[in-house]
Amino acid sequence: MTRKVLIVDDSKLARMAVIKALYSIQPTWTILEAGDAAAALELVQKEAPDIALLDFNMPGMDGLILATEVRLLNPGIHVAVISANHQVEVINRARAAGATFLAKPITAKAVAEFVDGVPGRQEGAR
Amino acid sequence: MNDFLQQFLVESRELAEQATEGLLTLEKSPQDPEQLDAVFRALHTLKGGAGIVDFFAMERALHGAEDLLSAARGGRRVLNPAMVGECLACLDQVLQWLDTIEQTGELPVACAGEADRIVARFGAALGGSAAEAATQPLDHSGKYEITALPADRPGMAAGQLSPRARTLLEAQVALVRESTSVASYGHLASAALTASNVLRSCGRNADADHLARFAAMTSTTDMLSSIQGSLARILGEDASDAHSPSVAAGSQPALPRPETTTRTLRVDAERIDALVRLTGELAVARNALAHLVKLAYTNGNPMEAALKARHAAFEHLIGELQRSVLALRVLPLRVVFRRFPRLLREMSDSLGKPVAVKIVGDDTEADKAIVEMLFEPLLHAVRNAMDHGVESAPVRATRGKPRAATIQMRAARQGDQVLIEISDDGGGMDVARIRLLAGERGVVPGEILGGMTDDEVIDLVFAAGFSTAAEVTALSGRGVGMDAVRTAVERVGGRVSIHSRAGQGTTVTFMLPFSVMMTKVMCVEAGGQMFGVPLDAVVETIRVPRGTLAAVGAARAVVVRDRTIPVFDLAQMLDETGKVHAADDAIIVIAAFAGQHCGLEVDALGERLDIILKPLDGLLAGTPGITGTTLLGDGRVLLVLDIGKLLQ
Repeated sequence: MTRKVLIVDDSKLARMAVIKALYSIQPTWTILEAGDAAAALELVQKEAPDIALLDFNMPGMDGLILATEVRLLNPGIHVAVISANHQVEVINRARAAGATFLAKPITAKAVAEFVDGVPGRQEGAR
Repeated sequence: MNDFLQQFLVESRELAEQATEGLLTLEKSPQDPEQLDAVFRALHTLKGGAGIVDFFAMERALHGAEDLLSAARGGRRVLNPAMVGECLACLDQVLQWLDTIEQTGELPVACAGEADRIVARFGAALGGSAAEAATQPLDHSGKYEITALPADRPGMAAGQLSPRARTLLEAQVALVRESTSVASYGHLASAALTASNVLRSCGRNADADHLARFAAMTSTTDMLSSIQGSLARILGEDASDAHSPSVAAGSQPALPRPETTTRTLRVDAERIDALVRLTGELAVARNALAHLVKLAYTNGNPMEAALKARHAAFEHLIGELQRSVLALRVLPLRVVFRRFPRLLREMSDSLGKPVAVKIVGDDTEADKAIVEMLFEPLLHAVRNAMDHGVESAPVRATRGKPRAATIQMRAARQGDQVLIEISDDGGGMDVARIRLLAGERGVVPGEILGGMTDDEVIDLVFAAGFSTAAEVTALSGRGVGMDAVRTAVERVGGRVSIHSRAGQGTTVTFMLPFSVMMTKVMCVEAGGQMFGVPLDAVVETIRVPRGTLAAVGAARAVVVRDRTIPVFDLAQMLDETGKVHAADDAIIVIAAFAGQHCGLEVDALGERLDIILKPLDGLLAGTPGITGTTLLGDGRVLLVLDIGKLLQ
């Protein structure tokens, strides 16, 4: 099933790395990109992505706050927060925000584990 | 260079710049939480990028900087100037690495040592522990074999594995394969470190950094798969004799292009230059057309009205094209201004004169050629301001000025020109002293000097060889005076002047054209004088025995490939001393104009130059056969010939 995935990171290089990882496992999925929180929220409203991968370390709004906002707009979305910061506090906050924590640098394996764990959209929900 | 490395370069430079600016602010207000956050974030993203392209040495170096900032952010440390200095030095090293990547298209090899030094210095700044953690003591094996390595190991990029190295690496693979239980964390870490050491001894530092990093992983399963994957790749590549083992991310499947709309394109500067050149040639072709239209008019051609209308439309379009093409080649002045806060900081340190830098209007744009030539002239002006303009702190105190001087760099667009001002709030220029020196050094004869106004006297600092420095200092005294600045600025068609108010400061004003059109010329010598011939008019240059020049009436001609071409002596045409050519061979430039070929005999051929043609003005205005002038690098004026007019 083709999914829509939103990737948010202020570094284009980091977005490229995530896209590459994602593409290697799901080449047919639609990918949306945003470089900041405002653009991300706009895309969530307009495009209703199924999955969002958010960078933790961004100017303005950090990835955890953004995760909460994204889920307020679209409660069904599956969110992962990506961070090089392995602190328990960050991991716990991610969990509290209903997001999965993924460690940086991102690997195809980690992305695969996350997106495979996302349950498929139920037919009845259409 | 792959897309990732390209993006890495672009992003890293931006981030390094942001971090540098932030650090300079932090130096003044070390506890500014916003700046601390901004610098930390920039360093963190920079580090992340290095990780993505597998540049582990840079990642390690930046990790040290990040730790320092992290400590400052958490309130555990207050940033002192030495710490800021370490961070700036680290960013300097990063920029050097980036330059290397840009030149070679690959990650630099053998930079682990530089990274080690940076990490060690950060460790020292933080108090020891971090350095040890980051450099990792590697004493696991118990058996040692110590051999001297040549200090400079050429061919390290190739990094062939010796048979012994292969054996050691294969042993690690075997060890790792057995270590599948959770308790074998230590086995895995030491296998990674051993492999790292083996690789480093073969000069494969990138791979070595890679392996060393795995040893620090927290998850046993991740470490196991990472080590197995890496070693399999390294041994496999070596067996198949791969040539660039240090760039692992080179040949990945092509990326999808999810963006449906691209708002900006990154284009090679050379392609834009080619476009600019072509547009210039189109403008020349248009000029020839204008001549034909005029001919049609004088001959009463019935096509005249139609021709004229088409020509006007053509001319309008070419004008538009020229403007649009030149607008492609603009850069913000930030590109050159941004280097100055850092340089001023150094000057301020070495002179012991505190200074604040104010930059205004750095988003003003100008042609790339202008922006790129500006650095040296601006540096000279800034050095002069720091050296001679700004007073020492005690003197400033007696004059009731703030302790720290202010140097302002301001840019603004004014019509077709770009204005740049470098001003200081120092003591102003010593007019009486300049007057005295100008007289002593014979820059201007005494009687004229007496009648000159203060402003005119100040302008004398631009005269050749003039320098008011009482002693040659490390900063200003580099053997080039303000005359070199004026030459450089005038070469691109700009002007520079100085305004000074005693006790209040000095302002150096640069007025530069927004855009420049480059013309290619070939230099020729005739009658002891150098001339430029526009290259688009030159068909070829030939050297023929003088005997083959046939006299045709009063003139001469030469036969080139069955075609008879009239030959004129360039010196005589220009009323230069019509000396008889003594050499056995005649050097002839064959030029074309409006389909006609003709030969110009010259004494010698010179180099080809890209010049900015200045229209004739002043005394030279209206000189027949000369289309314009340009200043040569040595300050001489090159007259550029108008071949069309010459041949009429």
